[in-house]
Parts: sequence; C-alpha cells; structure tokens
Amino acid sequence: MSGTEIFITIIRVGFGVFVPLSAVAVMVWMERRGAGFIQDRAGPNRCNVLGFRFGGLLQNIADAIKLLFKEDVIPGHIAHKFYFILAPALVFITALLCFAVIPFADALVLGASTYLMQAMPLELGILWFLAIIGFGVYGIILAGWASHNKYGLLGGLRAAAQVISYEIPMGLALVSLLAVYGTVNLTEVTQFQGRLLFGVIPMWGVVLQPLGFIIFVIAAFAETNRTPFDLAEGESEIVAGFHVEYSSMKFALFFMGEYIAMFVSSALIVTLFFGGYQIPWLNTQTLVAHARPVAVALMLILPAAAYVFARWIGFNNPGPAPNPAQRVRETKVYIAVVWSLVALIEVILLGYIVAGAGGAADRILVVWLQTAVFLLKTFFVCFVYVWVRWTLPRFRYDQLQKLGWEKLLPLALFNIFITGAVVVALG
Amino acid sequence: MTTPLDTILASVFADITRETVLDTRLLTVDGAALYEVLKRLKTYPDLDFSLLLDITAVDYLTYPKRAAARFVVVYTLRNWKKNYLVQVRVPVADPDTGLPSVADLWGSALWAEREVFDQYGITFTGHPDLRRILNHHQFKGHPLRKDYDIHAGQVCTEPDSLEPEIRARLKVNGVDDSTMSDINTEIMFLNIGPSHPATHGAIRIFAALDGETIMANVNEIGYLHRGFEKTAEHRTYNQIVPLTDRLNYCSALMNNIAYVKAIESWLGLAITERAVFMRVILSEFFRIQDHLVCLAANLVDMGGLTNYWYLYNEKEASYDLISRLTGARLTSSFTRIGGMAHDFYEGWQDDLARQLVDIEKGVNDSLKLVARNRIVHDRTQNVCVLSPETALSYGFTGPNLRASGVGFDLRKDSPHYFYESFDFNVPVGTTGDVYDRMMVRFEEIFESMRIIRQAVKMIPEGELFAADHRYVLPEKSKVYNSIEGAANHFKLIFEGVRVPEGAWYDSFEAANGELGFYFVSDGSGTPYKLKVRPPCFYAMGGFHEMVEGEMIADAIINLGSINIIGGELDR
Repeated sequence: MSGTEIFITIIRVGFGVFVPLSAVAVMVWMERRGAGFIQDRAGPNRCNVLGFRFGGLLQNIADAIKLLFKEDVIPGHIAHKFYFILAPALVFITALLCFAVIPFADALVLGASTYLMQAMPLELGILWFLAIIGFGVYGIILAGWASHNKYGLLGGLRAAAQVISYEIPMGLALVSLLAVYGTVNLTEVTQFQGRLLFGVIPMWGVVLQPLGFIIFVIAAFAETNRTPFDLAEGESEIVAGFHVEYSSMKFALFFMGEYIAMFVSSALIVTLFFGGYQIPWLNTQTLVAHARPVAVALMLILPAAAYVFARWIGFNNPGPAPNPAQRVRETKVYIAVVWSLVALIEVILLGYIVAGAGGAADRILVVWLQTAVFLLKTFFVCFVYVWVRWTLPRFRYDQLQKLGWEKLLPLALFNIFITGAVVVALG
Repeated sequence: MTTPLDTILASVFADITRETVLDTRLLTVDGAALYEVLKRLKTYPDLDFSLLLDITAVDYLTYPKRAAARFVVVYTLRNWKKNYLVQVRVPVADPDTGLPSVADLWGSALWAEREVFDQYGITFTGHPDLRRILNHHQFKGHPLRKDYDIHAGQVCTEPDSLEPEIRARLKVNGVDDSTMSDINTEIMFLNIGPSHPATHGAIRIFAALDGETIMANVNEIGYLHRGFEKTAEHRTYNQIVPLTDRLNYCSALMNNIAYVKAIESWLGLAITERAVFMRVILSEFFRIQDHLVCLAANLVDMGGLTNYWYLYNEKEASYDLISRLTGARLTSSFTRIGGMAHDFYEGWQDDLARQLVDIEKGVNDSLKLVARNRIVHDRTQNVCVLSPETALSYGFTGPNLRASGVGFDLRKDSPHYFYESFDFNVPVGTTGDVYDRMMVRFEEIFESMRIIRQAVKMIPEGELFAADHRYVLPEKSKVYNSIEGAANHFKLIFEGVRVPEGAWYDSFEAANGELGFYFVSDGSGTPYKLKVRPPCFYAMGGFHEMVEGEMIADAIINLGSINIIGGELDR
C-alpha cells in the first residue's frame, strides 16, 4: 500500500466518521433555531464563552457536557442489563455505518489508480444501506423490551410495526429507481445523474422518478422516526417510548443516533434523487477540463457571498441584549473571521492558479468542490426534515400502518410497472 | 308571577311543596318519593330535565335555625331547551340508609353521588360504584360535615389499585376471561398519569388495553383537592374571591365574576353599567385565553408543537395586558361584591384592540396549519364521539356539549349582563368528535372577539360600585373623615358582607361550561355552605364513555379536547 493510498483511506474513513458526528451538532442547532424561526421565537441564543455565542451553537457543547456528567441510571427493575446497554450502541453504530457507502465526491483519479470517495468503497452501495438501516431498528425494539416498562414496550412495538411497513415501500421505490440507473453502486448512480436529459435538464432521480421520490422520502421519514412518524417516541402519548428509562450518555447515543440517521437519509436522498455531489450542468469531466476558470469563478463568487453573509451577521447579531457593546464586539469578530477565512481560501486558490494548475491538483480541487456541494445539498434536505417536523402533527398508529400498506405499497408497485414499461420501451 | 313551568309543576306535583328562589323552582320531597319525582322530572315530555347539573348536601348541624333533618340533599336540574331550573331538596333521615341512587337516570349522578358520599357520608343505595372520589381512599371521616375536625391531619399512604373497578368495567363492556382466552391474549393495564405530559395537571387515567385499544377505562381524580368548599365556610364572602381564582386558573376572572354575580343576584344588588361592561369584556377576553390554552395543549398532544407557539405567544402577550388591566397575570381577584376592584387604565381600549388583532393573527396562523391538514382530520374526525344524549346524561356543558350538537349557552338561554343585546353566534358541532370540540373553541374565540369589540364601543363612563353601602365599602374620604364611614368600613371588613338567610343557586357560562355556585347562608358574613358546580368535573365523569374502544393516542387528545382543569375538577 502506497503512502497516497494510506493517506486517502484515512481521509475517507475520517470523513465517514467525523462528518456525521459533527453534523449532529449542526443539525441539533438547525433543529432548535429552525424551530424557533418557524414558531416565532428566538431559540437557544444565550449560551456563550466570553460572550461568543456562535449563533447558539455553543448550546450543543453545554448539552454534551451536561449529558456526559449526568448520572448514568440503570433502574433496578431491569433484568437484562446487557441488552439494555447494547440497545443505544446498536442504534448509534448502525446509523453511522450507513453513511459509509455514500459517495461525497466523484472517484479521484490519481495517475493510474482510482479512489472511490466513500468511507467504505463497497460495490454493494444501496444494498448495504438497506441491510444496515433495517438492523438499526433492532436497537429500538431491544431498548423498548429491555426497559421492562409498559411505555417502553409500546414504543418498541410501534417502532417494529412501523419499520416493517415502511421498509417494503422504500425497497420497492428503490427497485424502480435502480431499474432506471441499472446499478446499485452509489458512485455510478451519481455519475449517471451528471448527464443531461434532452440536453438541458439534469438527469436527477427526482426528474426521472418523481413518484418514487415521494414514496422514498415518506418512507425515509418513517425510518428515521421523525414527526409525523415519531410514534415510537410519542412524547405526549407514551412519554418518550423506547428511551423512557435511559439517561445520560445512553440517552445521548439514541439522540445522536436519530440525528445521524436523519443526516444519512438526507445524504441518501441527495445521492439518489438530487444528483449527489454533482453540480447541475457541470459534471466531473467538465470541471476537471475547466479547472482554472472554475477556480477564477470561485475567487469571484466567494467574496460576494462572504459580503452578503457578513452583512447578514452585522444586521442580525447585535440585536437586543443585556450588553449591546459586547454584541457589537462579537459581531465584529465574526465578520473578521469570515473575511479571514475567505482570504485564506483566496490565497490557496491563487496559489493553485499560479503554480499548481493541471494534473492532480485539478482533480483534488474538484473533489473539494463536490464535497462542499454534497454537504450543502444534504444540509438543505436536513432542513426539510426540521421544517416538516415543526409543521405536521403526529399520525396515529393504525393510520400510519394504513398509509404504508394501503397507499404507499400499491403506489410503489404501480411505479415499478410504469418504470419497467418505460425502461423496456426505451431499451 | 306564574310561568308555564309553575303550571306544569303544579299539575304534576300537586302534593309537593313548591317555592321559587330567584329563577329556581324548589321542590321539597321526602326520601321515599325522591326517585319517582326525579324520574318524572326527567321523563315527562313537558318537563324534560335532561341535565342533572349537580347533587350536593347541606349539613344543618350548626345552623342557627332548627332544621327538620341534619342532612338535606339538593339536586339541581335543568331543562336546557326552555331554560327551566329546578332544585329538589330531600331531608335525609339517616345518612347510612341514605337515598336511592339516580345513576340509572343520569350518568352525571355517578360522580355527583360519589362526591356527596365522600364529603358527607350519605349513602346512595343502588349506586354501582360508591367510593370516595375527591379524598384519598384511606381517608377517615367526611370533611364537609360540620363536626369534622379540620385540624386533625391524616396521613394516607397507599395508592388505590383500581383493579377491581377496572375489572368490573371490563365486565360491563362484555370482556371477561373467556373472551381473552379465546383470542389467546392478556389485557395490559396501563396508568396514564397521575403525572404524565398529557394530563396537564394530575389525573390518573387507568386503562385496560388490548394492543393499543382501550377496552375499559377508570379514572381517579382528587390529586388537586384542597378543600375549597370547606375553606370557604371559614372566610367572609369577599375573602373567597381569591380562592375562586384557583378553580379554573386558565380563566380565573370568569370564576371571580360568576362568584360575585351569584351573591349579587341573591342580594338583589344591581351593579353599575360600567361594571357590567367591564365584566363582559373581561369574561369574553378570558374565554379567549381559556380556549387558547386548551387548543394549544390539545395540538401539542397531537404532536403539533408549532400551533402551541402561535397560540401561546398570544396568550402570553394577553397576560401582560391582563396584568395591566387587573394587576395580576393569572390570579386576578378582580371582582368585589357590588363592583370591580379598580378601573382600567387610560388608553386600555387601544391596547385591547391591538391585542385582539394579534390573537386573531395567531389563531388564523394556527388554523392554517390545522384546518386543511389531512393528518389532523384523520386524528380528530369521528374520534371519541360523544352523542348528545350521552353528553346531556353526563352533565356536559359549555363547548363540549355544543360540539355534540346541543346549542345550550347560558349567554343566550339565560341572558345576564346585557348578553341579549350583543350580536354573536353560538357555534354548534355536528358529530361531537374531537374535531368538533376543537373547532367550536376556535369559533368561540372569534365570537368572543365580536362581543368584546361591541362592548368596548358601548362601555359607559361612571361609577364602578353600586351605591349600596350595606354591601359595598364606602369611599376612603368617608372612612377617614366620618365616624359612620369608618364604622361602615370596619363592619364590612371584619364581619364581611352580611347576606340574608337562604339557599340559592346561580350559574354563569364560564369558558368550560356552566359554572354554578350553590350557597346556603345563615345571615352572617360567611357562607354557611358553598358548593361549586365545576363544569369539567362532569366532563371527566363521562370520559370513559368517550374513550372506550378507541386507542391510547385518541384518549390523550380527547383529554385535551374536553379541557380538564385540575383546580376546578378537584377543588
């Protein structure tokens, strides 16, 4: 194994582990501030270190510290401590493993060798995802059962029933999608979406499979146990359901597991339906071929975007506060940080244009660009999750089943027939 | 004056003593004739007293005048269509033998009789489940008896298992061990509450479940019982006003108003027009608050937290306005016998108008999320349906009864405070499901706004207090500068407002339904007896009829939709 290979493997695995973990912090923040935005209130904005609040992001660190130092209670009535402890770990690990097959950039070609940009360069792709995410629900069922609590048990039962009813439409929606793409490998799926339909419309999954997209998104919401499908938790009915007996970091693992699962399914929705890392109309070959103009364009766009962002910070951050002078100072620092980051990137890009253009550097630039685009799209889908959660109320247990079996399943089958017919007709 | 009711009563009950107290016809019967009289009152088409509002008892042990019997049980009945109100008084010779139960005539008697049994130790023969209700099951003695030692503290430790009761209820519903063995399953008993996010207070909902379906339900209340009625027997009439705040604390001022209105009607004290309009504006404003709280909580139970904020933000802002208007946010204690504590501040009209616009916006925002939302429709429509017959039988009043299609509203049917001159509608539901109960409340918010806007235009300037200084404090200048004024003030404060001897019932359309007060006065400055007729006590009494056969999630939103307020439920 060459040095480059080891280095790239470390980068890939690091991305696959740390990005979902850091995404949890960002998503919890997005959830809270998003909820505040939707509900006409501020959301967490007080937690600070030396007066720096980072728009409420510090609240997550405070929460993490709180959860770490809380007493880890294992109630006396729990007979199967091993399963009780295993359950949160299972939820957390499976959620994290799912992300391993999602490509965050196009395959990197360095000299003779090609490196797939996913934590585990498996050919299995989507099958791996289906296998692992289905396993995650065992954690929830186990938690509900091992809690030895009626609410927990009801929560576990609800989760089990829900996953069984929604994995089928989800799988069937994927069948028609895969019939279109002709592969289960997610890198190839994304490469497919870099093409153009009639020369103008990007061939994204959402364009080719609108019905499949709707079914898949609904099923993905159900799989992640998010409102309106948060019946397993149902805090107003069965008081947190499966994790009612959990405290401290074991609860935190459930909590993080939920957000990672949400991040992963957002990433998968992006990969399958929104072209993954692809920038519309600019596929990898085009980007590599025109790396220098792209870099120049970036150098122009970045300061403009930074200017808007800095204006936005300057407008929003000061606000009413107990200490306005501190807020103004804080705002100045944020703006300075934004501009120095931009300056740093500008310098790197300039250095690239002057010295490094051509060959491997072009390809690495494209990988960076595609990763950024991928994350941007994923976080946007995550925001949709937040948006839906704070808009819709919860289903009832039997209505959820009905939706799954009576609506989504026939629709998914219908979609397979239509897709099959079209694929066969077009050869 | 002879009314049609008097004629009918005279013909049906020729040999029974009849009196008229305020707008109530009072029949005094003996225990042997009781069941027959009540049955006639309910079943005779001309009488049709479909609502048994309340049952209470009076202990005449320390009453200045000798009574025929120590205990008298009082039944309050209403014919909602024609606005007839009848009370039946029954002297109880021996509390242990007691009276025949009327639980087979009205469902509301189930809990009402349990309460009389609990508080007075009067037995009702034939009652299917005569247990304590407000006090703990280990409690000894009957607190509202006059010889009960209020200083003797009792420690009650054992929770009530309720298992025999729920098994009995399962039998009533036709579920026994053989059906269970047929389908090869076991029933799971689940406690929802007393401490549960959906109980919005402390109520214990005990359910027997098959999967998630509720096969039988028994409820335990009394967690917030603080002896309001006993306390009231030791306070002067004006001192009770702050206690009434704690009944339905979501609309505290309506309780204040209902309470003083009951006393004023007995005194025959006409309050000034300004005070009347202030009371109308405030009670409608508090009706809006009550409905906002109920709807917000109900939607949270459904998982719609954003609705909560749209409604609650406005409730919070309204409380700020209320604190400027009355001096307190939650427990206003704003009324006095004969008037209001103080006048509104300068410019309140503009603030109120602005607040109403904000509430309208919040409610409309919330309605936008709810009104055309398929999930909400599926969750609420045809869920926990309450038929008008069941609703009337269990003594439902207010929005819950109107949602079942019974258009009974005291503001229209028994107008007081110029309600007849305001232009407003009474929203009525069609099916009596959770959806109807929510939507009736949404509509009532808009109707209350209409009343407030009309009242603000019409409110006259003038005095706050009636000029009758037998009941109303004299002006401070008189208190400080004249011996008569000082003595008047002293007597009213120390002895309380002396209320003429008698017993009467008066009611008010509170946010939750008919809030009634039954007083017995011995002529002193403290009530000899005070009984509240809390609307949600009877709503909770019929809860099991609504949720049996539905699912847990339905029971939760149903509890929110009938708006149970612990303070009023448990007193």
